[in-house]
Amino acid sequence: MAQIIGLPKLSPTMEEGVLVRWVKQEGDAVEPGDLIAEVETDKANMDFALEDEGVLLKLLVGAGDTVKLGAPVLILGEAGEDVSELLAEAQAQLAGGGAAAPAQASAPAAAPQAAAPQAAAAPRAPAASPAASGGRLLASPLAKTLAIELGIDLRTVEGSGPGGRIVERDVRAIAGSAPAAQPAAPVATSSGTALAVVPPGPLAVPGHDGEYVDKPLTNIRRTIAERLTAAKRDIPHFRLTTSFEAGPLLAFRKRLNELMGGKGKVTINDLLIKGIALALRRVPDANVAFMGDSIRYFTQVHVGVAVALERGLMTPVVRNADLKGLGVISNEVKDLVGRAKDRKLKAHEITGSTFTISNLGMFGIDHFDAIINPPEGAILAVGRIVKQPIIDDDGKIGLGQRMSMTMSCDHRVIDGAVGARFLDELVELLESPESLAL
Amino acid sequence: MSINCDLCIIGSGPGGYVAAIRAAQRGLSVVCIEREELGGICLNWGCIPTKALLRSAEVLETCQRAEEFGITVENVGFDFDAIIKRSRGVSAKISKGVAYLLKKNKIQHVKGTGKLAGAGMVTVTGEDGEQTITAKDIIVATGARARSLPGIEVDGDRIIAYREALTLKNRPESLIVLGAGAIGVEFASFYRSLGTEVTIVEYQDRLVPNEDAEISAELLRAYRKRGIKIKTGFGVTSATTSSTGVSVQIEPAGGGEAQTLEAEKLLVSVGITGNVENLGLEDVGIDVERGFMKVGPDLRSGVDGIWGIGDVTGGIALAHVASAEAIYVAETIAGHHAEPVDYSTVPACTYCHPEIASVGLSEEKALAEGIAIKVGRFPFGPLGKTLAAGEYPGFAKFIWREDNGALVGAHLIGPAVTDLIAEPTLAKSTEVNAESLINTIHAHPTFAEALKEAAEDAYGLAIHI
Repeated sequence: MAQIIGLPKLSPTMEEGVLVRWVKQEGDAVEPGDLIAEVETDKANMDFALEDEGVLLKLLVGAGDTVKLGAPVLILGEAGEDVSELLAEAQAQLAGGGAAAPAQASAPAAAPQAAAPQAAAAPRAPAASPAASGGRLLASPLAKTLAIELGIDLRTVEGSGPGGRIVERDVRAIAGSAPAAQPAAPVATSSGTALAVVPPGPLAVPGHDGEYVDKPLTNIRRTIAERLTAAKRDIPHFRLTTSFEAGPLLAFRKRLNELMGGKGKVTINDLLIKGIALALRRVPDANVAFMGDSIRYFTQVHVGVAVALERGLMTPVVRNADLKGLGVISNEVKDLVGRAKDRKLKAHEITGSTFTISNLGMFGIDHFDAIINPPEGAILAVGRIVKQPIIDDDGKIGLGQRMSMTMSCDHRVIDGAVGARFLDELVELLESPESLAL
Repeated sequence: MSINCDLCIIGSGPGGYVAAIRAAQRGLSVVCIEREELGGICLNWGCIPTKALLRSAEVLETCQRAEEFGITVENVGFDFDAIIKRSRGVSAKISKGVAYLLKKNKIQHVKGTGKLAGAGMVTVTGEDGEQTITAKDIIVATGARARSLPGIEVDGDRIIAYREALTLKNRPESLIVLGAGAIGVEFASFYRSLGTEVTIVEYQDRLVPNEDAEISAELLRAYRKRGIKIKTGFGVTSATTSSTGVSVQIEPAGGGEAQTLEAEKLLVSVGITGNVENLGLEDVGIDVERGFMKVGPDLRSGVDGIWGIGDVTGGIALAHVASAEAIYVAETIAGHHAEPVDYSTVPACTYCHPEIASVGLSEEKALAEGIAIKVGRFPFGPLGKTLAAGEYPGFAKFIWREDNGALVGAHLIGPAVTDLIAEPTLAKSTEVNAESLINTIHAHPTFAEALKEAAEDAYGLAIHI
């Protein structure tokens, strides 16, 4: 019997996804476990596989559509089954806010989309852009006034009112400004000025009309915004900065790479990951998370590695980094970063870290501090290695190769002394790097 | 005995019966439970019978003023009992209309008192014993009743609420109305028309406190002219009944010397409280807050498949709001798309004389929200239609957003305004702004001309003032 398949939860925090592409097409037979589509979630591009077998009778959303969690995406059944009833049901759900907002770019043109049957017969799908039909532009008087005020071409606006009528909220959505109270001092007048000219209204950015482009948030960017805002707002951060002599670390890396021959290359960052993992073992009080009414002490050490991508920030995880050899860590990080760039990471590869490292040394940053990646208790921000004069224990001036590190701690679970102890252990490990190989 | 259906509705008022009909139109099998007359308070004890009474008052006043119009009417008088009987007759007729509509839509009407008995289950206790109804969805639409004040117990004789006020045996010589909301000022209007000495006591500093302040001021003028005594800014501390009447102690809201008012009857109209008792709400896990059933903005109760609409939920207590919520919920249950109720475009009408109607924000509220506004007013007085009809003048007031002419609010007091409010309501819900309304041709001679002129006045463009 045919059934509607909804968008499954492909990442632990996703609420919607963008259908990147259909791997299978309408009419294809599928086996359990077959990959049928790629979906961009708030985390990464995920594979969407089916648990059932059957024939893809109908694909309900097109590439580029944003789909809410659980909203219908396809109808699965046996070849030749009548799906008209299910189709109507699915379309009703989609029209009822379940989802599929067409991708921004394709909205105004409303070009016929082969894989978007929901637009054709949904009970109350917004009509194709009113202007596109060649008829009268259907817009409320207020929407028209606002469009003039905000400098918006109504032909580019999709109407959400009855019969596709453009109403205030549609124009405001394009302008990116919610209907807000006027900042101007309230004035009530019985007799105003003449009505002929509409006074210039508030712009999203006053005086910058036409000088900017508003791009809608991607899922990943929205997640970053939400999580980091919450972290900065809710977590009482404090920061501890120290530096260490990186000469031995550089020499150790050189030796390691010679030993490995052509089989990969260990980076300073790989060594730092291992160092952090071992230091956390020595100071388990720093491997913690604030859980609201309890403190969670992690029994394993999973180090998240912040990776800058063109589309945003991701934090793939090196699991049990304390137990892994440097070569393994190095290869694993390389693989994770590569696949992060290709949007190929799986959900379990970007969740579960207990501590995060963020390294901007390669970008020439001396030192900085980072925002904690919740629910972790701390994050370590690492700068570049700087050559500078140092005074040794005997009072002699020599050449130092200093690397600076700043640890941001969640003061609810990590106190200054604990943080300092962790950094002390870390510095000791990094200044005697052979211990990283033990 | 048990019944199985798609949707079970408890209550048949303007929320319940409208939800029932729409759900039936969408193909659902529907059961509607009602313990009293079909149609609820609105049809039987609220909107409709009061309108019938007020119509009688209007006919009486017109006859009393017949000479002004060159008509000779002698021995003008009234039969109080007959006025009440007519009002009850109107209610009975319209209640039968609901019965017909339910039947036509194949909705099963179950007489009795419904009670939630768990997920998807309602028990009904009626004359024929108890029966169980199982349903995929349940809508609670049990409405509300008059709220009483502590220490002022409604005894149905000297101290009465709206039900008694609709069915008194004799016209009281004097009446104290406690509360100057819509119900209070309507009964004050009716009984004053029949010659009763009426005193209104209101805790807030003006009549109809939910309306724009200028409307309150105009009603105050009109009521003083009609000989209604007004005690705004007074709270009632106690009421003592005797065989001849009731003695009411009042005190200024800001403190001060107490006063005593005497009258034959005291009408308590200080708001409503939800019919939430013995409904099993708490048993199934639905919260009751301040006497009302708690629902979310989507009118779901929090318990799967149980919805709440209308007065019982403590929202805007108006029949048409309950009906709008009914449509939204019924469509949603039936799997159809429905726009959620837009509470910012709900019109409110009060059928006192002069009538009051409004939609949107009052000037005070608009300013409090920091909206820059333009305000226009136009009196009905100079209009040809008003002069010809010999009606109480009043005025229309429009509030526009200063920047784009969006309608913020419209406030009317005067002739036929409870019908005229449909135009500003449509303007608000469809975003007709000042320019469009002004460019709309209004027929002459009509009361509606005042709307166009009031809209124009905000921009200094009214012609006839």
